[in-house]
Amino acid sequence: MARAVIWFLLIAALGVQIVLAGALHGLRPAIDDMPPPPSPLALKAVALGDDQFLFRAVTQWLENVGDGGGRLRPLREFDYDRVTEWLRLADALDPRSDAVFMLGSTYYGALTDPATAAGKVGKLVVYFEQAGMADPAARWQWLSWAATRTEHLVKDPVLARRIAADLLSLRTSPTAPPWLPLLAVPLLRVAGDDAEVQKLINDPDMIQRRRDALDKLRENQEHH
Amino acid sequence: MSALIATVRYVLLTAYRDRLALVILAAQLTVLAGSELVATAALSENIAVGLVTAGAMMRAVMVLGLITFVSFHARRMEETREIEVILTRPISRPAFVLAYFAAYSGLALLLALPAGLLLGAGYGSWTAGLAEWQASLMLESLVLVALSLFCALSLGSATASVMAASGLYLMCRLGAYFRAISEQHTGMLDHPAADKVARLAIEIVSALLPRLDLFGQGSWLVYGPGGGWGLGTLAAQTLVTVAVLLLATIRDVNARRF
Repeated sequence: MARAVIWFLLIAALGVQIVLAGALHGLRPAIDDMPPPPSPLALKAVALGDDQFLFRAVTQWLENVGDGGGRLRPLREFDYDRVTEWLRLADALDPRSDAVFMLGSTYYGALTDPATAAGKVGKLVVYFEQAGMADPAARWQWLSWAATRTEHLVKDPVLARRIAADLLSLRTSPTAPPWLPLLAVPLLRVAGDDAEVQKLINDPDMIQRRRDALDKLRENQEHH
Repeated sequence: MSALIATVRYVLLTAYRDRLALVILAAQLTVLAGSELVATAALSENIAVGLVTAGAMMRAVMVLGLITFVSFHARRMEETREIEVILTRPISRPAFVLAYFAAYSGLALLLALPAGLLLGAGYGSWTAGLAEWQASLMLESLVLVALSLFCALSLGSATASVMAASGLYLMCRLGAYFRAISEQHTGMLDHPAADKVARLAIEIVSALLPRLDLFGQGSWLVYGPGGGWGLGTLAAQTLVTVAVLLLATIRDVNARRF
């Protein structure tokens, strides 16, 4: 008898749980808001000695922040100053990884909203420019992305001129890819510096770089 | 010697009875499966994400499993008066502590072994970094055993022992944080004298705590050994920490009536 009562109560309790789950079905967690990033010191505490695990956890979180139980906060609603601060913080945890570049370029940088894309992606471009110039040999993709986004989306003449100057300064770099300064020409067109564009087009060094780059491209195409 | 063998056998038997190995293995397999899911969802560097996530979680499983098992096992031994029976044998109290440490350590090393094997097999990544990570996990397990044994034999309850050992372990993993505070000043107190006292306190705490934050670096799994220290440093830290904890445990067991 006692055993039957316990079984009855157990099944009844499970039934109540199922009813409760049905009643709570409509409730969803709030969509995560991106908080301001912590200080590097606070981050040390969270890492518990394993910076690499924290780096992977932060990049995974940055990939998923704004997802609230199947509802998504559009990228246009994100504060991109904060996004770049987080990317900068994550990058400091593992400067050897390309995960931050991939996250910034293919996820946050994929914003296409006509009203906000130029301004928001422009902030990423500024960060990528700084991060790329810190190590152009290893981070030429960062610079290349910053240049092409400025040319096609951001179109800010001041920024375009600055990145063009950065890229042209790499002509003397023994480690940066030799074709990288070629990206300065379209940027100077965006900036409206037509005289400088003509000068660069006729510059023997730039002509040689263009030829070498085309030869390399053909070689790669034949190889594949 | 026979007392040592009997103790090892007893610990292994009770661990088997508690299904400790099975639970830890099941947890590590679950961690591996979960990390594969996380890795699949990653935008880039999927294998690195999976390896590092699985490594950190497997270490957490080991920490939780060992602290809980040793704490409850040692307390149960005392509550069932088994400890008194053991101490009636011709075994000194230091030998008793050492025998139990040896037995728990053997068990911990056995339990730590599958973690590296699972990581290597799961991600096809048999690297020198994985070997270093595995060796580091084994050394960390020895520290955990000594820490749990000390807490279990010194405190009055298994729950208190689990809480204390977990808290101490977390404190030890904050070594880099304490060092950063002492280097950058606390910044918590406006008064320079108070700040100096707080900084001194932090320096004393960080000098007393073993640097467990140096163990089990996820970066070894991705980039191989490196980071400015190697197994020699970890072995030295393990040796010193285990010695301090065992001596403290022996002192505590000597001071108590059984």
